[in-house]
Amino acid sequence: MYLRIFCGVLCGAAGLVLAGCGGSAGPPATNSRTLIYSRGTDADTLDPLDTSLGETVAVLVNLYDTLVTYDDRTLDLVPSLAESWEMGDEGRTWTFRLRPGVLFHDGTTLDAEAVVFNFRRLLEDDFPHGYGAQRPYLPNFEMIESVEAVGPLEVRFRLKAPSAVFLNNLAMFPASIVSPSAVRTHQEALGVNPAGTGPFRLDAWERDQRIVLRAFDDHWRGRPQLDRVIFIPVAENSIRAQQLVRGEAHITDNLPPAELDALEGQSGLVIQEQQGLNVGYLTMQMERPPLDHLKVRLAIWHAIDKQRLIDVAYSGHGQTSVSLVPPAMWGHAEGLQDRQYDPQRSRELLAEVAAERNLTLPLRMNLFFMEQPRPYMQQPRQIAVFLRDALQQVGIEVKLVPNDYRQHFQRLSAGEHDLGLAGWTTDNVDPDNFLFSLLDKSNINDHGGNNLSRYASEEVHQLLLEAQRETDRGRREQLYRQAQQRIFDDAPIVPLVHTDVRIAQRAEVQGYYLHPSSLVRLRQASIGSGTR
Amino acid sequence: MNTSLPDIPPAAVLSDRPASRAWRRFRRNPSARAGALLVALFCLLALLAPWLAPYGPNQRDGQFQPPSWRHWLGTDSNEYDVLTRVIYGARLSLVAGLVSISLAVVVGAPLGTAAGYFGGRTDALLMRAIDVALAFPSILIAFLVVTAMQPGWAPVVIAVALINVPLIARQVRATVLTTRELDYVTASRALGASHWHVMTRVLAPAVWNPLIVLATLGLGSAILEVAGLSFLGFGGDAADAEWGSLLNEAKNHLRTTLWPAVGPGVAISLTILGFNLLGDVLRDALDPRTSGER
Amino acid sequence: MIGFLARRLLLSLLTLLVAVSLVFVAVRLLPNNPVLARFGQHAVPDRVADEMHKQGWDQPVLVQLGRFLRQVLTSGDLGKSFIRPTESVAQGLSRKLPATIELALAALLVAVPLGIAAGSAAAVWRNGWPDLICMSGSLLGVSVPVFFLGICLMSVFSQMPTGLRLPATADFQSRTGFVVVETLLAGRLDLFLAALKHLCLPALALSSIPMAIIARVTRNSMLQALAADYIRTARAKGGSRWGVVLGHALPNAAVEVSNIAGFQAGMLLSGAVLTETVFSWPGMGRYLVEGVKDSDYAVVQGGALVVAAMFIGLNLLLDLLHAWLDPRIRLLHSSS
Repeated sequence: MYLRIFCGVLCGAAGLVLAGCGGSAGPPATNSRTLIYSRGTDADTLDPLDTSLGETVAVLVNLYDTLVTYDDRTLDLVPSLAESWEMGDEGRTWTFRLRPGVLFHDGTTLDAEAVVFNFRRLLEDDFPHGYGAQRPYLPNFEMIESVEAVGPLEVRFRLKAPSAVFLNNLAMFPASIVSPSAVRTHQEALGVNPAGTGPFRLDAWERDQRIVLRAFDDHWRGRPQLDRVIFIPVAENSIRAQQLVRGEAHITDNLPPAELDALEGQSGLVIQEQQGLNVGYLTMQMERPPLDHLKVRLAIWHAIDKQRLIDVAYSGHGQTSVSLVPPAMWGHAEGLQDRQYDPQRSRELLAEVAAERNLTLPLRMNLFFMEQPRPYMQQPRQIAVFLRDALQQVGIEVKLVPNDYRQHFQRLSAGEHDLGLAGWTTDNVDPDNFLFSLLDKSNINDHGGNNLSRYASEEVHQLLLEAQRETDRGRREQLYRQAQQRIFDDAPIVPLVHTDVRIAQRAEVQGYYLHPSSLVRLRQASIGSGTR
Repeated sequence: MNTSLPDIPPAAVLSDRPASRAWRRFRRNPSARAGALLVALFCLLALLAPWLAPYGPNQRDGQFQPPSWRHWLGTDSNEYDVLTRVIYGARLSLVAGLVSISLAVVVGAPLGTAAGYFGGRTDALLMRAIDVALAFPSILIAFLVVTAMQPGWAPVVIAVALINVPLIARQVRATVLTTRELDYVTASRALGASHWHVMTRVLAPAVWNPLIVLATLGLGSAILEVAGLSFLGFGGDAADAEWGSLLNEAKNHLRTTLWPAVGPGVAISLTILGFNLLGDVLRDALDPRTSGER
Repeated sequence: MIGFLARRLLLSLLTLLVAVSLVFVAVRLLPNNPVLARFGQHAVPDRVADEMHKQGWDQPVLVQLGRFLRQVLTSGDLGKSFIRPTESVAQGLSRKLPATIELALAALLVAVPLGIAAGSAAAVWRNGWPDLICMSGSLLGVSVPVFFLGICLMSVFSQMPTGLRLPATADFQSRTGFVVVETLLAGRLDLFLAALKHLCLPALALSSIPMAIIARVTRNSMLQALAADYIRTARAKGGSRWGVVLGHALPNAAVEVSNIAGFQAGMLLSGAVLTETVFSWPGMGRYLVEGVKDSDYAVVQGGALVVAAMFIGLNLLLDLLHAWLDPRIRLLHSSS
């Protein structure tokens, strides 16, 4: 022990000495126009067609632009690379007029051919310039029949059928416009040589160390305030928080709620908070008895005190959920009254089922959960343990099964679970993206199907299909309300929570606004003198 | 100390005379007493957990409460009492360590005996395999087992057992090699005893004492290895109290709440310390060749 | 000697082959695969099957193994990771391995001198207070798990930078991955010190167990040596106490320390995995752990091949070193 303490002291002293002669201790001093953004892991590629990783998207939205995008503050769609657009043929054709004089990072100019090139690369399986990109978001664009250039700056999309989500999907990152010449030049290596029209261009990428972006002087909106943005990957939450406190990073995302609460009080730090466009829920595999019995699913529903769960696992930063569509979004089922937390009712329901089916109590089930935090479940383990304790109270013995989150979803879509934690963050701010993706019967399959409960309601299927084709929002809202009522009655899932999205940043960061879509748009950010 | 003892190999120690001498020496050694005390303490915690723990292992009583009279070691992110979890954790950690070491002995001891007894090609092959296994970083072996079997307590126990098999086998072989040529062994061979008889009836008792020492020493490191694997997230049910997974859980909130880490961390350290103290003394006491000098 | 060397080399290669094959099969036993691992909730079912076929992952494991081995032998190509599409396994390893080697060497640089010094002091003042401190320290050193020690260090020295190898804004790009060495060679003293600072806590945590073990081994072999005839002779001939310790007893201890070094190297990597996890150190250990968790076939098999080769090579080297340090073994082998 003495040896240990001695060494500790020695090293600490060495550290102090080093700090002394090392000069600049914190990065803010070295360059006041550099912003450091730290997060849990590094990007996988910078090709927008080859990724589904949130940490990558944070970089992509600063490198690339899309035809349309969200307003700086709200979820309204506004022009971006397209100056204007019009719909024709009852919603089957869309014509976009492009902004003139937009430059890519590699010096080429944006034109209609470039847009067509990008969408062909996204849509066509045998496009010669695909270079192995995996296109995980292809299903979001399958309503497009063809894309053609009808003028030097005019592009026309023809759709297979009218689609209510088409325009929203054009604001998603997979629809980013990449320089065609860069794609042709770098081929498979596009992922490390990205060239877009965004406010920043890639300067250097040292894998698992840092991604350095530099301001793009010729950006069409004007040069951004910052000179450099540096993304650093740091896996441990507590280290990321400590880096923020020490001034080694300016912004940090995905910290645990309790950590954020602790940081909130500290001077020099600011917490930004937004109602999240997400849902965290408990899936119940309906093909596995006794979960095929409605009463069992209702018993589970009644056994969970959602508000207490949010207090424990989210430090209170979230709202209880009744249906999948979050309240911050249109299409939310407003009239729906949640079932009460009522363990006594649960016990009764279970007793009825036990008598009916000749089962012995307690029932035994497994509960799958993911090991890593997700945006909608920052502490999945706490949630799983909470649910286990709650269900034990009413007569269900739960075995917890942890998995790496990727394996987790793979095993859930293969239907290996009884109960499982799951969730979703919207891609395009449309109710369809929640309801159809997560509960339509066409999305049941073993390899990546997202209907994890295997809920096969024909009625819901028809309602959702009709809503997809309908372009009138009022009518769609009505259809989604009907569908959600039906889903609520059938209870294939227990919706748990709509999480608030929170990030921690240093006070000297100005002009960075945590967007409701959680997109990390750093164009307007700057580093002020701040408070030290 | 060395010179006062007759120069006989350890395996020949069969009568109870050296055993009682070992016991005397053991009792006189203060660090042995400390080690035994620590180990006994944690075994007691494990055995009497339901009576000693102030709360139920899954009883919720508020999140992140600092240490107080109500909760001596505070509460954790699951609203559980840390002291209670640490006490229950002793069960899983000790049992997992014990099972994996026993598995290792069950597999390793026969292997080592066979290698030492038959010698020749069997021996060469086995020693080569052991060298390989020892050269390979143990954590990689553990990864492989856990990868192939999915995370859970069973794969962790098997992995830790596998890591320890070569160590056990090598030690047993060394003992058998020295014992093989002793008079009473050659005598029983000459009397026509079968290989099986010689190995199980004649050699096994000689192997037993050093094996106990090795297993005790190994138990400490096995507990450590189990904790390490579950710290990396390869363990079983998250609601089970186990020291490594308690630490894994606590590390997420390290900066704001340190106490959920302190309890399990100190508990592992003390347990391993106990086994190390005990193991050192046992080794010295039972092995005259290395007494005092290793 | 040559024959001995050749036999050892051949056996080593065989060992390597067995080890890699085991890894290869184990990673494929999981129902998961890299495509699903990478895209999770966004995997498109038909395309998953397509990709499996394209990569050859739907073929029998032995066929895949054969192809992998042929590829490694003919072109030295370790394959391409599916999870990290912009980086080959060889590139990944060439970035991660130096980080771990630097960490391990730094840990040894702390552990070996301090361990030997402490052990020698304990032996010279046997049963005195240096002995007591040193021995109880080393007992604690082997008892406190490296991950708990790491947590403690981080909490105590919360002002020390962690999580990166250099400050994010450093205007320096490492070519080889040996950041400390490179910054020094480039004459960037400020960055060299910064790199050392980032290395400090992880290295310290990792050094605890080797230091403790080295201290004990040194103490024991010094005690043996000090009691031996030739030391008594040297003392009798009028050698100074320290002269005798440094000139005779210490070299003897060095043999013992080198004896356990191979074993230590394995422990060091195991410790490094935990240390890297605790400190978010971007090294080999975490690369492999993530590869295992992602079912990233290429990373796991390539990484295992390189690690196994390194360890087997290291053990071979240590055997030779040991033979060279210890004349008895040298003679034994040259005669056989």
